[in-house]
Amino acid sequence: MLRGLKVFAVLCCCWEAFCLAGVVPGELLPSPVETGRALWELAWKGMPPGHLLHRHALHSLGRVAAGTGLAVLLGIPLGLALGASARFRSVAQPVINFLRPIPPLAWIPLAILWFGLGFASAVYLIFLGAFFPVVLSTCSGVASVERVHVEALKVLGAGRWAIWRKVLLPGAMPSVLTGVRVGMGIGWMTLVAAEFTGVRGGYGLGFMIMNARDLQRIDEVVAGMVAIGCIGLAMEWGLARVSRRLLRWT
Amino acid sequence: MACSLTIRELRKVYHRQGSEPLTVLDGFDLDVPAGAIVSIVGLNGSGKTTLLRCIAGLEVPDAGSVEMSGDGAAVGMVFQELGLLPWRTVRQNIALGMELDGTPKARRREVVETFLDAFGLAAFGDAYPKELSGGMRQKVAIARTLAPEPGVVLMDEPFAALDCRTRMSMHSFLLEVWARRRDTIVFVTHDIEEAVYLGDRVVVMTQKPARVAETLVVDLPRPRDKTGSECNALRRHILDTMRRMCAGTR
Repeated sequence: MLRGLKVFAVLCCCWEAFCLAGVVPGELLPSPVETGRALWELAWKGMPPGHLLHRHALHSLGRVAAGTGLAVLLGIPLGLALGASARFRSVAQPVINFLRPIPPLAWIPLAILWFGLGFASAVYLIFLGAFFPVVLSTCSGVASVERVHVEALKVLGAGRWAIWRKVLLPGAMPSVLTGVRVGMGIGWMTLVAAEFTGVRGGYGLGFMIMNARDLQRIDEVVAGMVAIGCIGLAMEWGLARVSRRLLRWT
Repeated sequence: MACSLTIRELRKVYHRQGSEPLTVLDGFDLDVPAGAIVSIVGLNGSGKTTLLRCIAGLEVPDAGSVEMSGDGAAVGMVFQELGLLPWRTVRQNIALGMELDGTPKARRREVVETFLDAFGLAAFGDAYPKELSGGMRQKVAIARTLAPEPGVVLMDEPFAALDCRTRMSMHSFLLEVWARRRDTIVFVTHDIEEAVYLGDRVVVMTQKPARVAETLVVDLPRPRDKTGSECNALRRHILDTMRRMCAGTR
């Protein structure tokens, strides 16, 4: 943690030095100090004026949480089914592999058509980003459970349900958690695109960045990127802590 | 408690796509008296594991019968790979079989503590399998198998992966436990010394399709002298039998 902060400090210093030395022209990249000032402005004055940073962040968090949550809710059961049944896998995998490479961005027109401009569209796009990593990790988690664990349970008299509860689910857990972490990361990556569609309320970090771009406030664009990075980092850190807790046995 | 085991005319054929069916066991007979240790030796790939899997109910034989005295008697099995659940502590692993057969919680705890004490694992009750030495893991696997009081205990080369010293101490440990409890044990191994040291009888398997080549009664008091003249004579005899089998197939 401390080392991580040091690395950030060093990187910021280099960035500042480059800007001061004029290696990077100011109109292409704001310096850390300018970015900090922009963050301050976003936090207290807002972009557009009155729309403050923390409210943008809360709205975005809500969308990412809803999209990722939905992906987890639907992706884990589907992944479990895929992992457990080779027959189902052979039927469903081609469809999944067909849908998977289609970028969430490409879905924007359909999302707007289906869900209209607003929350649901944005959540749908984030869901698309997060869904496949969750499905695939869960599937490989179940498939990677060692046969001897299942057989040990069978010999001890376990039925189908007990095997699920006592072996397959806990055995798949490490992969599932990795999938959720990756899914949430991709959910954040989809956010800005998603907020092209879903900002009727005028809040969202992605929306804020696009607004700053329209006003040619490059410093506030970068500040918005920094804000997303910080939130993503904090969430990853939290999830990693939860995983370590749950996976003490690995 | 300890049951006798009777196997008659057991036959197991594996049908594989694109090649000849493989007959692993054919006309296999075995009698294991209640409370005895019967060692089964055979060359690698002679069908020893298949035999145990048929007894344990993990494979369905194509013909023949596996019968145990005593109604509703269960088998327990110690796997070569042990199959301890890595996400469960030592306590939870030992309790697994009793959770599955519906033993009340209080009784479960009592039995687990008895095993921890008797097996010298008292200090490791809350440790995870990865934190244990090879020998201790073996003990946990044996405790987990014995805790639900199976009528017959199957052991599939459980000590094959241990170093020499640990294996020797596991031999005396197993005999100690057996002397106290008098379980019926079917012990499969490719190690002739081990088979003679542990067994009341040693059954030598032929190569595929496996039948019983011969059954020797080891009528020596325990503890036995592994390198004493009686044990050596038996080992030489078994080795000769196996050599003749190898020569016969060439």
